[in-house]
Parts: sequence; structure tokens; C-alpha cells
Amino acid sequence: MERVLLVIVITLASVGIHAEEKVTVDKHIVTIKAEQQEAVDKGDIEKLKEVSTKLERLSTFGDKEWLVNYYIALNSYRISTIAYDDKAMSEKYIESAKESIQKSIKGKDDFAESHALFSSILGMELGFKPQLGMTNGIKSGKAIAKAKKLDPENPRVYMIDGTGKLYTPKMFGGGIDKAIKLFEKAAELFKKEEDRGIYPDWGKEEVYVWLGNAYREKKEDSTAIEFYKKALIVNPDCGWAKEILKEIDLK
Amino acid sequence: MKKLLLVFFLPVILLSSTIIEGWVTGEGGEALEGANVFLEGTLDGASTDKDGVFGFVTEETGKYNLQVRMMGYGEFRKEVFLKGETIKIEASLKEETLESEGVIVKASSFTTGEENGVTLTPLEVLTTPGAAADICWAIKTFPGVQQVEEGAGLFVRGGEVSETKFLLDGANVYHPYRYESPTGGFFGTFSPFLLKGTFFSSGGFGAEYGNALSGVLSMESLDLPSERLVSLGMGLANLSVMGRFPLSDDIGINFSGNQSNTKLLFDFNNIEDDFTEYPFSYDLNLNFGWRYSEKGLAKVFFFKEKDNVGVALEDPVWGGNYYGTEMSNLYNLKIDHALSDNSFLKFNVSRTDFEKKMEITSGEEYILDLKTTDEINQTKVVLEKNTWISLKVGGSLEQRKSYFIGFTPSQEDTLDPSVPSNHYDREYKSYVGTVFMEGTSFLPYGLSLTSGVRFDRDSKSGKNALDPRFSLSWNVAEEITLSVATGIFHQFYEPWRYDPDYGNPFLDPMKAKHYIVSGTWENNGGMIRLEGYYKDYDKLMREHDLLNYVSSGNGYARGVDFFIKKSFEKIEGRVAYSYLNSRRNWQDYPALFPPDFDITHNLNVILNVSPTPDFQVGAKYMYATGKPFTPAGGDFRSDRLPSYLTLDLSVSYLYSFFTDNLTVFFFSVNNVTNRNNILGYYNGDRNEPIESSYGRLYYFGVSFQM
Repeated sequence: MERVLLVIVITLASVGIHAEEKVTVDKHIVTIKAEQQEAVDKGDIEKLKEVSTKLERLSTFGDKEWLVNYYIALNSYRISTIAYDDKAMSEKYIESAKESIQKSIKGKDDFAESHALFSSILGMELGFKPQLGMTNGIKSGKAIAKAKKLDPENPRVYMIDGTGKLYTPKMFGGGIDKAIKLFEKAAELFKKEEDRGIYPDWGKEEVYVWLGNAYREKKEDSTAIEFYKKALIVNPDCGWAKEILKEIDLK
Repeated sequence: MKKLLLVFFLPVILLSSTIIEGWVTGEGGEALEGANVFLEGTLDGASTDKDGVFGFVTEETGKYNLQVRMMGYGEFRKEVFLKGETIKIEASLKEETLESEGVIVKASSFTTGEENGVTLTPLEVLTTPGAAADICWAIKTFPGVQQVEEGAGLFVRGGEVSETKFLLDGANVYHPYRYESPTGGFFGTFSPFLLKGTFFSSGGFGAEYGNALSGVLSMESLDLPSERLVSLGMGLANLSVMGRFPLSDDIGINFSGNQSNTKLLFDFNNIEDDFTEYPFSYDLNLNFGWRYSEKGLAKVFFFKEKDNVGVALEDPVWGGNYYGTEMSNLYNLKIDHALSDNSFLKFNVSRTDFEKKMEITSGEEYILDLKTTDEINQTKVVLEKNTWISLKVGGSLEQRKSYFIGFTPSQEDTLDPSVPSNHYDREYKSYVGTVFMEGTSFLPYGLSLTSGVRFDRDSKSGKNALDPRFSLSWNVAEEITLSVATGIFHQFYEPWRYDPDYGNPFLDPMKAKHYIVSGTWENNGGMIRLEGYYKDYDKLMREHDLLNYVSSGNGYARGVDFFIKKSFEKIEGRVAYSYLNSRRNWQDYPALFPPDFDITHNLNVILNVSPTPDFQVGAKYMYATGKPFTPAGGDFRSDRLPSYLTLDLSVSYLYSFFTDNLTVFFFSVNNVTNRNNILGYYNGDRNEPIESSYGRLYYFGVSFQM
């Protein structure tokens, strides 16, 4: 009789553990997401690499693999942008980001966030491989269009579209003014966005940094500074805005 | 319940925490830092330190998969049983070859395939100035390939053109050139648009490749298309259409069609030519791919090509017309199947039909009228397994049927109508059976050794060939690799050479020994490679009065190849220099003399500049020592032609007319300086030069993609 009880207890326990695992993936995502944002704020590459290892492990839990892959891609993308001056490293991470986001899209094709991120990654890759010029440009445009169709109210989609436009010459359909319009729209949508739990909600402050960058391109530094300051109001830890303000100050 | 469980499990957990430790290395035995080692389905794990060492404690028990992941490397997975006893793990990760969407050309590599080599991206093939978007022409700009004729023929390191073997998806390609000639042909048969990757080796290649004395060019066709793409191209001599259609996630079609008609090109450039019929060719390609499961991909590749050309022959002694037409079909079924995580099966079955007609007429009279057909059926199986040693075992069987009908003048090189003819109506059939085996293992101190052996048997001659091959490479430092390679290479003749009437049934296969030493320095965006080699040739074919041919020829080739490639933000350049000294005692040579392809110095300098991403200008300068020849009244092969020089320029501009559109405008000038290159002298007489018909040549076109 005791044996039987033992078996039952163990069986129940393992069921319990399994049920718990489902919850843990979500829980882990939320925790890691916060760590990721913190590392981005600090521009801490080592910390971001740690986040990558955790996410990689999380991707083997057999639950929401596509979403974990999205965060892996986002993480590599962040490392690539922060490490931009180290060309070799930056390029390595953008290639890795591309691979992960493609995996994420393969796992779930109707998630607007991943198409938007894919678009951004392709744009970044272009910086390293100008010969990919038009092919990546076209793919990037397609990806952002798809993201908009899937989620027309997503602020990140408009922000990413704006960054693409900012660096695309006018004759290919880009331009600073177009970019600013998109950033403004994104900023409006960000105001409505709340905590999204396991889903991505980054970018609230970044959109103001981008607005700042756009106005700097227009040589309107005073407007730009206002936007950088605004970014710091939204997120006082935003390292990127701080760094740019410091840089402007030094001049 | 929870409390109960906790109490129940606590002692077990405490007893059973397991230490997992070990180290992670790359293929060359070098320590890998920052690899992620963990138990699948948990967050338990560690990252390796700078010595590649890791260690962690887990409280899980039972069966788990341990994974090691590292960016740029393949995954490592191993089942572990956690029961409280310390587990030691030694993991070796295989470097992943970066997937590329187009052609990758790797030069002189010492093992098969994945070895780092000189790579060219697809656009580099297309933007190599003067290369006419032709793979063979692009490869000719690499070290170790000598400029012998104005054409696509790949003469590799003192080897004759037929000593470079071509493969497509594993199928032997015996007619790799268009407008075939004794020195190869004018263009490569396959366009780079059909291909996913190309592997080129200029010597010391692995046991998988055989029946080739000098070089290997192995091409792989496109895989499943990931998105729909249609492209149209139009140029002064070319019309092309290409499409990629994914039908579902697992099924897709790539197709292309090209037509090339050179009349307009010659007319536009006002070139006086001797064509009675301008070179004309077309090709069609259909490539159907099916991913039948997670484990495998099946590809059916169909290719058809046809070309013809007519030339007026102006010999000082007599005049005539040449007309030639060629047709070839290639069908290939290829299956790549994963048997397990670390073993793969590659299978292909192919058929080639080739037909060539040649005519030489003088007035109404036929001096030469010959039709050749070639039918090749081949099956090949390769099994690969990657554990502590990576092992490749394979075999193939090939049947070749050649048929000749017609007549040729009985004396070679003499097209005088009064000379009697040889008449043919013969069929030759031969089988070549092959087995090979190759293993690569990683030794300490960053050393890796590849050793292989291959056995071929040719039914026509009844001869066997046994080729052992070795290569050892040493990763001295992160950016520096030293390698040595050696091996024996055999090559059988085409079936008709064993005909007792025109050849000799007892010919031995030709034999070469390669000895190669190489050093490579590679870092981000740059590469320098220096290689020295010596090749010993034996059993070459010599002419014989009674037996037609005998296998008593010999020779050698030695040389140095140098390559440097560097890209900056807006400029990319590469320099390839080859020094070669080659002597042969073969054909009708009285002793060791320099053959036609003994080109002492060969230099290619290429520079591509893109001031803006949409605009690119490229230039190529090529220098080659003149070919040896026998001057009239002089000693055998005692003189050389003038050096061969060209300067080519190309400009391309990208524009987008609407979303999803990519339009490329291109313009090129070949032989900018309008140099009059001399290709030979009639009868060795310096007053009778054979001049190149390619003076300055303008070309332009547009390609439209959506």
C-alpha cells in the first residue's frame, strides 16, 4: 500500500512540475526581459551576453520557443548596435540576430514584432555589406509592410519603419521628414501602450532618441536636445540619450 | 501537498546534486571561450572561460540532454545521466560554414569543402570586371590558374585544361564549357545564377574527388527558394529570365533561361570578325526542390544548353569555313538525408546527353565532318559521420558511352583538302567504379589531420588506380594557419583513347603527385595566402609510330601562388600572383620542354570602389607571360609569344523604380587600352601573327528584378 501511495505521489509530483514549467517559461521571460532592458540602458555588453545564454537555455524548454527566439534576436541586435565600433563583433551578432529572428518567424508567422525586428536587422546588416544593398532594402521593406498589416497600432513597427527611412536616401523612398512623421506616430502609440507582460514593450524612450537623431540630421540641434531630454524623462536610466547629450555638451 | 513533497524529496535532492565539468574546443583543438553549456529544458549551466573550461552543479536527476552552443559553431548534444556522480564532458564544436545566397568560390583548399579558403560572394563574381558574370572567368582571377587562352578554360598549376574536373550536385560534368575547343571553351556552361555554392581547389584536394590530375570545381545548385523573385535581364548580347517560386514551405522551383547572341555585340563595337555564323547559345534550367521531412531535401535538376558558331578559317595556305554546334542535357536527382544528428547520407543519380557536330568546308568540299555523342550515367552515394573523427565513405559507378561518326583529316593540324581522311563509325563504352574513404581528426596543439584513400577501376583499360591523400594543418595562432598536403592523383583517358586503331588499349592512367606547403593569415576583411607546390607527373601520353600512344611521358610543375584580399568601407581589392615553372616530355616532345600552359608569371589585380551603395566601379588588370612556341627555323619551343595584357573596367548602378524593384544598369569596357594581344604565329613565323579579335569592347545592359 505504501508503494502504491509513493507511485501516486511521484506521478502527481511530476505532473505538478510539468504544469509549473509552463508557468516558469512565462515567468523567466518577464524576468529576463527586465534584465535585458537594464543591460541596454547601461550599454553593458557582458550583461547582454549573459542574457543571451539564459535565453538560449530557455529556448529548450519546449514552450513559446518562437517568442524566446524573438528575444534572442533582439538581444543579439542590441549587442550588435552597442558594439558597433568593433565591426567584426557587431557583424557577427547581426548575423546571429538574423538567424534567430528567422527561426522565430518560422515558428510563428503572424507576430508583427518579429517582422518589424527582422526589417531592422536587415537594415543593420546592410551597413556591413553594402553589396546586399537593394536585395536587403526590398526584403526590409516587405517585412515592415507585413508587420504593419499584422498590427497597425504597434508603436515599435512605426519606430522601426522610421529608422529605416531615416537612413534611406530620398530617391529610394526614404528621407528625414518621412522618418520624423513615423517617429511622431510611434510616440503617440507608445503613450497608449501598457505593460505587456511576456510580450515586447521596449522603445518608449528610444522613440524620442530617434526623434532627436532625426532633428540632428536636420541640423536642428536645439529641437534634438529637447527630444533627448524627453527620452530621459520617460526612462531616466536611458544610457543612449545620456551619452548623446554628453557628446553634444563636449562640442 | 507541497510540503509533503518537499520533505519527501529533500534528502534525494541533497544527495543527488551532480557536478558537470569539462572543456569545449573547436575542430582544431583550440579552446573556445564563451560557449553556453547547459542541460536542455533547464536554466542550469555555465559559460566556458578563456581556457574553454566550464563547471556547474545541478540538482536535477535522471536522463537529460547536455547542450553546448556557441555562435558560429554547430550544436553539440550529449545524453547524460544525473545521479550524483561527477560527469566529465569533452566537447568539440564544428565551425559552421556561413550560408550564402549565391556563389562562394573557395580557392586552393587542403581538405574537402569546409576548409577556409578564398571566398567570393555572388556579387563579386558578377562584379569581377571583365569576367562577364562567368564562374570560370571569375576563377581565372585566382592564383594557381594560368591565363593560356582567351576563354574560360581552367589550366591549373601547370596542368592541362582537361585535368580540372567539374561536378554539379555530385554529378560529373564532362562538358563544362560552351563553344568547346582543345583549350576548354569560351564560357562556362553554368551561369552563377543557378548556383548556391562553388568549391574550387587548385590541388591537394580530398579523396572524394578523383579522376583529375590538377584541379576540381564542384558546383551546387540552388536550394528551396525562400521568396518569390522574378528577374529579367537584357544586354548587348544577352537576354535572360529567371524566377524563384516557393510553392509551399517545403516545395519550390527555380528556373532560368538565357539566350546569348553576339552579333549585335560585334556590330556595335565595329569589330572586324571572321564569323560566318555569330556565336549563339541558349540554356534552360529547371530546379525542383522538395523538403520531404525535417531530415531531408530532394532536388531534381534539369539543364539544357545549345550553342553554335561558324568561323572563316584563314590559313595562309588555304581558306575554309568551320561550323560547330553543341547540345547538352543534364538530369540529376540528388537527395541529402540526415540519418541522425551527426550522420548524413548523400545520394545522386544523373544522366548527361551531349552531342557535338563539327564541319570544316573548303568551297563545296568537306574536309572534316564529325558528329560526337556522349552519354553518361552515374550513381553516387556518400555517407558522412561526425564524431571525434569526421568520417566520409562513398562510392560511385559511372557508365560512359561515346559515339563518333564522320571523318577527319588523317594528319592532325593539317586541314589541306588534298590530305586523305580518317573515317569513323565507332562506339565506345566504359565503366568507372570508385570507392573512397576519408577521415579528419583533431589533434592537440591546434593540429588537424585529414587522411583519405580512393580506389578507381576503369573497365575499358582494365586498369586500377589507388590514390592515398593526406593533409595536415596547424592553427599557429588565431589568424594564422599553416598547412601541408600531399597525395597521388590519377586520371583515366576518354574511352576512345583505348581504341587500338587510334589510341592504345594498354594506356595506364596518368599520374601526378602533389606536394603543397601553405600559410594563410586571415582576419576580419583581409586575407593573405602564400603557397608553394611541386607536382611530379608520370605516365603521360607520348606519341608512338607503331602503337599510336604510349604511357611513357613525364614532367613536373613547380610554383608559388600569392593572394591578398582586403576590403575597406568603400573599396575592395585583391591581388593574385602566380609563378610557375613547368616542363613536360609528352605528345611529340623530344625531351622535357615547356608546354603551352607554362606561363611563368600571371598577375591579376582587381579593385572595386563603391562611393555610394548604389554605385560601383571596378577595374581589373591582368598580365600573363606569353606562351612558349617553336619559332620558324628555331629550336623546339625555344621562344615565347609577347606577354598578354588586358585592362577591363566595369560600372554598375542600382536604382529602384518602385517598391520591391531592383534595377541594375551596367556598363563595361574590356581591353580598355585596345592592346593587340598575339595568340600565336602561323607556322612559328613572326610575320604571320594570329591576333586576338578582342580589341576594345563595350558592353552594356540592364537587369530588372521584382
